[in-house]
This record gives sequence, C-alpha cells and structure tokens, in this order.
Amino acid sequence: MGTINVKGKEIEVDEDGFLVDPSDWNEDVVMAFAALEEIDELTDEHWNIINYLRDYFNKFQTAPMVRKLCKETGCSNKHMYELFPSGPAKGACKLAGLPKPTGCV
Amino acid sequence: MTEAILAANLNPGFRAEVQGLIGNFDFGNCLACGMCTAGCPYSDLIPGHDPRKFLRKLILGMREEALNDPYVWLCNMCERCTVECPMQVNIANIVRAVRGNFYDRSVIPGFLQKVVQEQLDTGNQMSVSQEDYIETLEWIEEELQEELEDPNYKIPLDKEDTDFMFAFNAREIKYYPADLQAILKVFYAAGFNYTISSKKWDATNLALFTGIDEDFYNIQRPLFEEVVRLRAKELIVTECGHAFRSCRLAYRKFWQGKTFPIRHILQLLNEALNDGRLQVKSKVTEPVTYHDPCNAVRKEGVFEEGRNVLKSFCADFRDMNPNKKFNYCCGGGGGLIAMPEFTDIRVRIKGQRKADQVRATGAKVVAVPCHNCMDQFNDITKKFELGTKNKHVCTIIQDHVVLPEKKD
Repeated sequence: MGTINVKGKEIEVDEDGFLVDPSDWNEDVVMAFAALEEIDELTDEHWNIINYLRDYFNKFQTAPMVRKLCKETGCSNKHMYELFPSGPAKGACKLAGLPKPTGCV
Repeated sequence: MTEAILAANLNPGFRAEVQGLIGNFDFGNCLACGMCTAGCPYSDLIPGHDPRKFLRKLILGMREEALNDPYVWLCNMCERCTVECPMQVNIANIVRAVRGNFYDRSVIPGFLQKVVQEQLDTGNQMSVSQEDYIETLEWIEEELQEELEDPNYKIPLDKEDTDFMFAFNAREIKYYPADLQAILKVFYAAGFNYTISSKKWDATNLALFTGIDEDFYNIQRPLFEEVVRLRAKELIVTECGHAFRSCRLAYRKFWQGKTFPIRHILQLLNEALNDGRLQVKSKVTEPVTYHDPCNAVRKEGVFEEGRNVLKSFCADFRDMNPNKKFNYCCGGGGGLIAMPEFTDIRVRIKGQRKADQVRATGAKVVAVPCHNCMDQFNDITKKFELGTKNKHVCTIIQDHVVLPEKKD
C-alpha cells in the first residue's frame, strides 16, 4: 500500500498504484494518475473513455471487454495505447478509478 | 540469522508425509551442499529466501517452521536451484506439494484462489461471458479481414479433424485482443489447418501455483476433452509459460483419455519455419533479446525453438547472460504476480536481477513469450527505467512474415 499526493492530500493506492477507495476518485486524482502514466494532456478522448469505464463499472462491478470499450467509445484498440501507454487494463482503468483487475493481468 | 533446532519438537513423520505427495521421491538424499541456495537468484537479496534451509526443515521434521516459512509463497518455483542440485532434488515440485496440501484455501496469499474459483465457475480466469467471447472473436476476424485484405478470412471455430486446437490466455480475449490478432495473422501466413473452440479456450490455470491438484485438474480437464471432441491432432498453447506447463503437467499426471501431443506455439512456429510454411519477408533491425520463461524452458525444455524463430526474423539478436536453462526467473513466477502483498519484493528486489541482465544486452526490444513474465517485465521496465519495449514473439514477427498470396 502507498499513497499519492493529490493537491496536498494523500490518497491511498494499492501496490500497483490503483485507487483503494473508489470514493476518493475525482478529476484531480485523474490528473495525478495521468502524470504518473506519462500522459501529457488529458483530452476529450481520454475523458470519454474514462467516463465510459466508470459507468460500466458502476453497473457491472467489472471492467468491460476491450472489444466493448472500443466499440462504445469509437476508439480503436491501437489508438487506445496512444492515449493510455499502459493500455486499457493497467492505464485507462487506473485513471478511471477502477480497482486493479485480478487474474493474469 | 541463527535458529535453534529443538530436537524434542521434531516431527519425524513430516518428511515421509511430504515425500508421499511427490511420488515418494527421496529428497532425504540431499547433501546439504547449498548449491540450491547458490543457484537461487534471490537467496542473497532476501533474508530467509533459502531453498537449502527450507529443505532441511522438511528433512528434520520441523513441521511448524517449514509451514510458517515465508519461503513457501515467496519462492518463484522457477527450478533455478534444481539445475544446480547434484542430487536432482526438485524444490519447486516440493514447494508446490507443500502449498497444495497443508493450507486451507482461505489462507492462500493474494488473489490466487479467487482467480482459481473464477476459472472453476466460469471456465476462464476472467469470467468472460460466451457472448463477449464470440463478439471479440468476430471483431478480431473483421480486423484481420481488413489487415490481410482478405474479405473471406474466417477464424476456424469448432472445426473438426484439424492439425491442432489452439488454446490461449483469457486476457488475450479480455484485455489484449491485439496479441491474439498477431498470432492469428502468423497462423494465416503459415497456412495452418487448425481450430479454436467456441466452448473451452482458456489454457491458463492458477492452481498450478496454489498446488491444489483437485482444482488444478478440474480446470485443465475440460480443455483436453475439447481437443478430443474436435478430434484435433494436437494441442498448441499460446505464449504463456504457466498455461503451457499446466497443460503438460495435468496431462502427464492425470489425463487418462485419448492421447495427443501438447506443444508450445514457438515449437510449432519453429517447425513451420524449417519446413517452409512460414517464411521471412523482412527482418527486425532493432536489437532484440529473449527472456526464457521458467515454465517453458527449465520445466518443459522449450528454449532453442523461440531463439531460432527470433534469429530468423531479427538481424540483431542478443542473448542474455546467463540464458536457457540457467536463465534467471523474471521474478514474477510461482504466482507472485497474483500476490500484491509481495509486490515490492517482486519488483524492486527480485526485478533487479532481470533489469541488470536486460541492460547488459543493450537490446531495445525484449521478446517475452509468457503473459506472466510480461507483466513482471512491464513493471521492471517502469521501475528501473530500462527504456525497452516488451513484446510477445508473435507481435514482433507479425509484420515480417510472408503472407500467402506473396509466396512463390
């Protein structure tokens, strides 16, 4: 367990840097994660994906298939890696405040 | 660190008990020479990470000390110790037997057991629904039709009497479909006659690491039954060390049905390169090195094939030192990736060995033919700022193979 500093406040993250308490999530947290994930600027495309992931997770308590994520957000799989260098599972899900996916991820 | 051994507390039956779990292999012939500990890449980095001491505890009957030894779960079961042992004591095998027979499922570290349960409940370790599975395959198919400029391209689903059934890792469907796409493109280039099952396709098995054989075989058996149902000549397993190892181990230990070979995808690709089905169009120019996943290499003997494939496609291939059966584990083996309580040890301490090895090669690309090792490599690359890219072999070669219409 560790913490990240978000505007002077220490927010708890797990061993892989994912948010521990989903209610800690806010735009400042996303900005802080983005800096750690080497994302220079958060665009509408990023937010579109982040918001989709959050909605999906709230409904189903799991991350969507990449297939679903791409289809629903209109973002190609390749472009996903341009937006989130760590990829959809470890990058996009982290920014969206989802817990780290279990399994061989 | 000295520990007093109290003779009165020794449990002489313990050694025989453990021995009974591993086919009565007599590890009492251990010479206590310490070559295992010398061979372990981590014994001098982590206090108590000591195969020799662990084995002594078993042999002397120090039951409580052995079962409470953090080594049981920190060991990567990589068999690096075993290649050095003059008496052929397989410590990884012993560790697995101890893990699987002396602990309740509720105390298994990390989320190992959670994933095992999901596999038992849903048939794959990421609980991918049938609908999502088929939809993702259809998507990959459409992407490939475009990429291959072949509107008739089809993924051969549930085809009977083919040369092999291909089984893979659930994460290739759920999170990394581009990896599966790269594999199927290479299969297309080689013109393989194969099939993928619509029902049972996940070859992974985290009970390899919990050591509970009941779960282990219940997870693996349906895959074998599917090979038989589709009358495939053999089973080919994706670039996933533990999935390949699980298939081979479960088959050898428990399978009583119709016989068929199980091979690693790199064995198949190497064969196809040798007989000309797979041809090299162009070479990768960046320097490439190769990681030997313990499960495929030390445990199942597949190490030349991956090298041959890479050497065929890469102009500048550089081996790590040491390599092949003497290679170091990535540090994430033995289920450690799925035990977040050990993340710091796994990445910062164990990862250091591998980071040093990679750096010494000067390679820009690391070929990592294993999903588990891949996660560890990505963590190490970040932690030690290696600046390297980690890729599966099929991802490296996918744009360098000759596609059918361009063959002579």
